[in-house]
Amino acid sequence: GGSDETNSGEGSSEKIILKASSGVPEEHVWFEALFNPWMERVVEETNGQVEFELYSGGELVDIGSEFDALESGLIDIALPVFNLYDQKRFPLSEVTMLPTSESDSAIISQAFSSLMYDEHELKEGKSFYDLEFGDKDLKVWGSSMGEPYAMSTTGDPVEKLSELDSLKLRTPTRLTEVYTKHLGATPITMPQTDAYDALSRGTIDGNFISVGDWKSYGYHDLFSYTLEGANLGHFNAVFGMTNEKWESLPENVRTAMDEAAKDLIVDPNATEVMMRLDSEVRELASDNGSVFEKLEDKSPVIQEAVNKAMVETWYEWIDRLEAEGHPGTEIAKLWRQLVEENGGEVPEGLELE
Amino acid sequence: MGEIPVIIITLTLFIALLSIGLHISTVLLLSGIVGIYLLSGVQALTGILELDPFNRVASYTLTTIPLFILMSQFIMHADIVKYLYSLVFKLTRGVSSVLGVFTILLGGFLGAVSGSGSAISASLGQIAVPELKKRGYKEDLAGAIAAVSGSLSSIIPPAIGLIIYGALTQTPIGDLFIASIIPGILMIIIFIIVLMFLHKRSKREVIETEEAQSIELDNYSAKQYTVAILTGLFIVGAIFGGIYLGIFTPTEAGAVGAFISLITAAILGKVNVNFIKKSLRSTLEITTMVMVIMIGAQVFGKFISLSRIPRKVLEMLEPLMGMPLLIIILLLIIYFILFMFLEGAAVILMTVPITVPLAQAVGISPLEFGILISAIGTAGLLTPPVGLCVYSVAGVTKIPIENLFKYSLIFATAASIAVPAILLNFPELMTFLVNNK
Amino acid sequence: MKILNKIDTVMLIISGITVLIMMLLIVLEVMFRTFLNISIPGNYEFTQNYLMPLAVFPILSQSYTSGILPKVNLFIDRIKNLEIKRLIQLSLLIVEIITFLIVTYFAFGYALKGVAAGVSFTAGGTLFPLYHVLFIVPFGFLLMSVKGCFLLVNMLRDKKYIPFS
Ligand code: NA
Ligand code: NA
Repeated sequence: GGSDETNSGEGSSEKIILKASSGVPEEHVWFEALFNPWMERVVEETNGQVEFELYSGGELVDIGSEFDALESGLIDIALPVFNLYDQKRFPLSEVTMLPTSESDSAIISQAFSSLMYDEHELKEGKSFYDLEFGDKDLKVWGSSMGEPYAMSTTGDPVEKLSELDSLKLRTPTRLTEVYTKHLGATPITMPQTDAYDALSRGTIDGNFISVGDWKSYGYHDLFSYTLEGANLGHFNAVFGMTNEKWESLPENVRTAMDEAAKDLIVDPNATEVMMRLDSEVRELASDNGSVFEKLEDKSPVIQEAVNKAMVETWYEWIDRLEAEGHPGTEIAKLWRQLVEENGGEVPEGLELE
Repeated sequence: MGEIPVIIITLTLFIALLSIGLHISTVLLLSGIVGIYLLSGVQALTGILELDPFNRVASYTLTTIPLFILMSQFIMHADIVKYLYSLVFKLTRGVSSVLGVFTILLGGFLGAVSGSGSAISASLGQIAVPELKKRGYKEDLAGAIAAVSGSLSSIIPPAIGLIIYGALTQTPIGDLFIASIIPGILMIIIFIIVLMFLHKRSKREVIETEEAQSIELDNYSAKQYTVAILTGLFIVGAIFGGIYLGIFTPTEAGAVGAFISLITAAILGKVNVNFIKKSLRSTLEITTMVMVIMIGAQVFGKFISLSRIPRKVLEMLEPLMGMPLLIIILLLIIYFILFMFLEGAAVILMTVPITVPLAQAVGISPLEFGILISAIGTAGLLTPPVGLCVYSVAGVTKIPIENLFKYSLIFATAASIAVPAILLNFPELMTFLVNNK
Repeated sequence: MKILNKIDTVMLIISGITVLIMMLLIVLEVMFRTFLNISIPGNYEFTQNYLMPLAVFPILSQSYTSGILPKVNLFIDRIKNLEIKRLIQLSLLIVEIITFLIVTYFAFGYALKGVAAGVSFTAGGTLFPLYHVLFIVPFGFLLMSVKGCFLLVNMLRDKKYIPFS
């Protein structure tokens, strides 16, 4: 068998072949922004001692099964682990999906980097990283963060509350569902593969997705309206391996991996890649007559309703986490602090105590 | 063990178990297990066998398989299809080839409301094969027609393969759907031509045909025909109308179709405990058959993925970049072979990141390439050794697989050669509708 | 075999009702969405995580013995010697039982891990347990192996008996 024989203890210069699996295809922006540069740097800095054997597009491990695949030893590295799809195991990670009024890829990548690597105590002397990953025997790094999820619809700009209420919106995440409920609109869950058809025939009116991802699903021909300044969170993911695998790697390899990962998450090139995609799609869609509107330009009634829904989403999330025995209030406060420190804003009227 | 010996051992085992008569689902599962174990050890096997059976089945998208089959069971047990076939046969004054054409067109229509070729093939295997046989079709050919008709769903939109391809390559899915309409019709025409040719030949082989025809001149009343046409139109109209008006998605259409058919059968007075029991039993048996083959195909697919065969083969193509036509022909041949052994979505996921840049380098756009692959993928549902549509028909009709493959392979080969040849010579057939939408 | 028939009936009822529920749930979802502009919370997740496995795995063994699972008969049909034919059938049956047991073993191990980790999914904003459902997988495959064993015993007892033909 492949990797067992080849990965040896410290100081050895034997070739180390690592099976790396990704649920997303190699065309995905994460590869360009983060995974490819990371793998290249590790290979370079170990003078080719490490070699990655890449399986992509979910050909080996389905999205959401990465943790089990790492534990069983089927793969050595997950690029990434979709921690957000396993809320039982990774309950705190969802914090980056909380709504903000002002945030972008660069702001949130800084905030997430700080959440991952700085020592902010949350509970019993443990940090976010300890509680979420360290306790699960994982050695992971944070991924670069994309632009925010926003509500986009196939209709006209929303002017009245009644128009907002009557929307049927596909909610891809738990928090977009909560938000939609508080907005008074109808949350619909359906496979992403059905959403194109459903949007084009009017089965649903809209979806929550980051603008840069439109092209992946052909949405740039469909969406005519996007409401901005009600950011429905930023998708995060982590990549890495089990502690056991980590400890089996020689010191120089570990150093190379660690440094590369921590540099790249806040690397301007990486955020630029994430943001470039966003502006490309924006241009393309605007040419087709698609409208992007800011929340602050809407009528006070709409602003109030949207703000209230965002604030309620924070409260509901915190309550649920606390009820499940997690430090919901603490991490929410920490996240707000990190977002604001890095130049972002949380919804108006949010009070945390 | 080295990779090459493992690949040889596993493929040999696969062929041996298959030909000696082990159930196909078990052949896929076992050779997958052996291959993964030899290649990557028990850890990899654990990771795959623990997750795959559940993950494969626990899918909202796949609800369309049981529910679509349930719909066809309700329709069949209400005798609607029986009357329709009899009517078409009568109206064409007994020209039996029309019935085969009718079946292929029916498959095309069903393909426009469902993405699951296996489900449609299984349904047509039950509904159409007995009717075709009664009216002079050789059993094997009738079965192959059912499989061929079902396979159309993977090129006629909505098609899961095109959606996955679109998401992978950032090609607008709407464009892919529109671009596949003419190639889909082209595929139907080619299937019909092959059918006419094969039916003529097999009729000469089967001498008893004359007797079969004269024995089977069933006469239903005008009222029965009218009811069949009206209910048939009602069900089809409700499903198409519902999808195109945006009332439900193609995935939900299975459930709605089953429900409407049940109500229709009830109005016709066909529903009783036995009706429900018979319909449910067949639905579950066929669904489970399809699902257990899909689980096996998934595990076997993981072996192929771990062996890195597709990647290695494609790497070997790079030195030939100077000869565009050769590259494209070789790519299509490779796809034909991959689709022989693997399920469609797996092939696309595994290869597209490598092949699309190759195709672009020789002047084929991602949109055109997607349609070409999808045509070959449709044929792949009909080719041995892993032909999901053929398996479905074999399961429900008990016709020996090898007899079905004998015919389905002719359909598949003809389509795989003719469709790309025509499309490559007249690319406007793919791009025209997109550019003028 | 009587017990097995009883089990078959129970499984048919379980899976059959599940499919009907699946149909009704999706139809209701469509109707609610169209006429009342509301969606059934958790419809998607429940269908995917509970109903689909319940519709497929319990009934697995019945599909297996019903003879619907396709196979290639070309070779076996050409063998005229009944003894050899029986021997081949016997070995194939043993191979199948072993294969099903392997899957049962791994799927059971996974279900146990699932219990330990309390594997769950979210629907309509709340966590719902998934680990019980994970046991349906090994159960389905175990039932297939048990049926295989019964066929094997029958084959050994009745010298002429050949299953699935
Ligand atoms: Na289709
Ligand atoms: Na095939």
